[in-house]
Amino acid sequence: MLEIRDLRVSIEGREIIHIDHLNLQSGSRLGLVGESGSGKTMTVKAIAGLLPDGTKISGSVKFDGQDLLSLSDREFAKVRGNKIGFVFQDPARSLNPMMRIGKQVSEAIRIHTDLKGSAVTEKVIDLLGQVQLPDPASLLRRYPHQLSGGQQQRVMIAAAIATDPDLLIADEPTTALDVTVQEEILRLLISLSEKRKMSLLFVSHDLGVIRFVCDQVAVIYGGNIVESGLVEEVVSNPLHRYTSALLAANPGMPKDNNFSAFMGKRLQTITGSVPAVGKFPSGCRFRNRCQHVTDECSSIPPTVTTESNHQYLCWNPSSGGAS
Amino acid sequence: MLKHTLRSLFTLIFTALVGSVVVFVLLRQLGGDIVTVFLGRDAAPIDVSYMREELGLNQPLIVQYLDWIRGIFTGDLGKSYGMGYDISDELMRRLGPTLTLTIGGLLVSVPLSLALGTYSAINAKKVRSSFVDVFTQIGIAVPAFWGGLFLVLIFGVRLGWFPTSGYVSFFDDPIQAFRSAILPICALSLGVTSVFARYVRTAMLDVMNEDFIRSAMARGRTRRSAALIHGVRNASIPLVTVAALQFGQLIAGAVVVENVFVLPGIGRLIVTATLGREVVVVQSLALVIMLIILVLNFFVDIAYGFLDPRIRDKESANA
Amino acid sequence: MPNSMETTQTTPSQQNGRRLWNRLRRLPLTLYIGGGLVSLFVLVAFVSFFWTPYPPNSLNLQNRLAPPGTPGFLLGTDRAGRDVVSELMLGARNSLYVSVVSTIVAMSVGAFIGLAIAGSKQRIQGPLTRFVDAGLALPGILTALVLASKFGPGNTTATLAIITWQIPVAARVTIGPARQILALDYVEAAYSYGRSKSYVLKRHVLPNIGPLLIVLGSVMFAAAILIEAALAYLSVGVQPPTSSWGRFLNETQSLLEAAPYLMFFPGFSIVLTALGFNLLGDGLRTVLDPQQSRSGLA
Repeated sequence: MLEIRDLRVSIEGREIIHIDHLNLQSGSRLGLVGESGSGKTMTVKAIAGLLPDGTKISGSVKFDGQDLLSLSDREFAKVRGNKIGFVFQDPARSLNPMMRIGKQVSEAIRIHTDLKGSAVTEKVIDLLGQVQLPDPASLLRRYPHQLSGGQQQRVMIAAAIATDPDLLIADEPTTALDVTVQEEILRLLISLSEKRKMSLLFVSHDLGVIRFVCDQVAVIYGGNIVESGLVEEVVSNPLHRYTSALLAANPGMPKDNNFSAFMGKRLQTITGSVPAVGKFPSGCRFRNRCQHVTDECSSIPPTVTTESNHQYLCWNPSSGGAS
Repeated sequence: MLKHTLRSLFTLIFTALVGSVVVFVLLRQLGGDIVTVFLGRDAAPIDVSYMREELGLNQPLIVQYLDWIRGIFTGDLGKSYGMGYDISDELMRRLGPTLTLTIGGLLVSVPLSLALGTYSAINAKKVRSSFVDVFTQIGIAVPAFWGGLFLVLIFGVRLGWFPTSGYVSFFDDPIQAFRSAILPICALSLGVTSVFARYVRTAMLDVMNEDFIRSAMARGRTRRSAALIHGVRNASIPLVTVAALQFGQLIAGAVVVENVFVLPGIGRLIVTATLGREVVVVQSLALVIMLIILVLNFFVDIAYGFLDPRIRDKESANA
Repeated sequence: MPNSMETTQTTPSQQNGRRLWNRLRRLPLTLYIGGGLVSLFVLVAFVSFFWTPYPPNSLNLQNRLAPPGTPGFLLGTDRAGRDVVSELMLGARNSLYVSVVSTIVAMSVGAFIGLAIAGSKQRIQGPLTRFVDAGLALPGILTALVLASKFGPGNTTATLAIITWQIPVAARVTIGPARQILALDYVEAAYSYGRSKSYVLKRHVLPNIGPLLIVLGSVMFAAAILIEAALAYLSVGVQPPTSSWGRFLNETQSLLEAAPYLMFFPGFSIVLTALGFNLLGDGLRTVLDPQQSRSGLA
């Protein structure tokens, strides 16, 4: 239901994102994983129509058949919050400290539907219950600072699913939360997605978390999707060198449902950092940090290779791929 | 909330006290004798001692101070030695023009600066906001008295639309009152609006960068409606603090504008008294004005406590 | 790679020149306009010490109210026959004097107080800051009037009044940033070496708020110019025979019918000078601290 084709985003003449294609089926959960600066947040902004002024964007982002990029600001605003819901990273800052909780959760309802008055209130109470907040009715008139971080994020989620969207985009929703609370929130997202048949685009830097939540994954580096496919497939048989490096930095990821085992125990970090925009090296963007770089990698940017739904962008992939 | 109110009250009282002492000591003790200042150096000793007796200058300083403060509360501010009027009576008589001017100035400048500042912030990257910026930049450089003169020249002298001086009470003749109040209020508002609009712009820009604005847009608001519905309320917190400071500027502007347009208000009174070296009058008037400003600030402080729910809850911490 | 037969060689000095030009080009416009106006003002004021077209106060009653363009009087004369250009220049000198003195004193004392408050114990910082805030609320004109009633009008009174009014401003603006710097880790480290509070304030805080103070100085200067003019207009400031823009403006008020153009000369002088300092302050702020988007007081 979400199809991204040849998406290119440029700022001041420099291309920062180029996504050849990315698919998300209805009801499935796709994880977008990458380090800071890899372009994952920009991609989310591009899909949401929230890119800053002066950004050039081309390509197509088809949502339910409609090309979002062709929409005007106003039309885009009709889709956001209505068919697509958003959950952001730091709930304390993402909620208006001066507006009551009830009002913020009902905001999307009031904008996109004709519901009024007590019908809205009922819906809000119901939503707050669905995100497992106790005593929802008393929360309506509270302010965000009166809640804990985990509760605040639940409120954000309630606000995001208020209009029963088909797609929920979550950008690092648990990164700013306490470790003990993270698992609950993730389980909540999974259950909501399953119960409502709602697709989930989950953005994170933590491959372990993505593995816990999602069934598909796309690895983004330097604005490119360097590998994508089913989560289990990619994790057990990583083809792009960056993916393998990421996995090596996250040892101990058993396949069972034990969340604490997923907590990133970084033993081996990948040396260097993501190159800044416009300073990508020639050829493959990862080549300066890759342990297995070849001459071809340095001169020609790799093209997409597909093997039964497992795609990668590498001249010298790990075992299993064609060289 | 209570703690906050008490703190504001304490600041008010403390500052008023210190201010009054400073004014009093300054005027009574330093730089020579009040009487000599007024009568001149060649005054006959008998006149000097008579006046000193009249003004109670032979009493101990503390007594003088307490008498003065007591007078403020009982409404007896003394008399003008030079012109013979009772100060508090005169103050009341002149309240009308000054109030018309200041309240009119507030009514014009607050909405105008909110509108201009918000407009400028929402359209920050576009050319349109530059016009507002240029306008406010010039506005803060134009002194109220020149702006007033300019308005007098164009609308009073050249076009003859409005009177160039004088005050008509609203109760006597509303139309004329309005006509004679327009130019002074405009002159006063130009500077205040420009200064405040710039603060509004900054506060709104800061707010626009906040994450919850992004959340509002993510729920389906356009940039403009997110700014108006979420931004304004949050921006008003720092603005309220700044607004309090603007009262002083408003009153200072009123003093000047009253002199430009020859309005029989408190501003003109205090200037005339100053030029006439009437220390007693100036002393009391200055304190009254200072108290008014401090009290206004106090109320603004309380309002601040109401606006920000985080302050309200600070003492009664929940969850 | 381009392969041209004639390679243009640039000398190192040419390259440096081009680099400088590029950097100059990126400076904000406000800096240039403001800088230009300020330089003009300072130049005129400075020159007036040595030369004015006509000596100060040369009354010339035969030529009173001569319009601009009258031979010998570029901008005309005022109601006592004084040459307008000379009056403007002398007015600039007066404004410069009052503003320089008041800004320097107010900023020094104010910054000192601000630093002292920032470095004082937590418990008294709050009340002290609020006290400064209260001082901020009181308008300068009031102080000037109070002082003038006792000590008489004049430049000294005006300067004193401006100083008293601006000290809380300077103090308030320094408190915030000073506190932020004092809370930084490397400052804490300095304490652990045994450095005293005043050492830290002098060596760590002061240099870091330097740019802020420069910007503040420019803005305070503009305010001083406006207040000096206002006081002179009210006859509470500088007295005759010293020339001042404010007093000049006052005189033009009664001449609005006879010589309406006259009010523009002192008026524009005041506006352009104040504008210049404000723009300069804005430009400096953009250059010295591009991240700062907050207003200084709120």
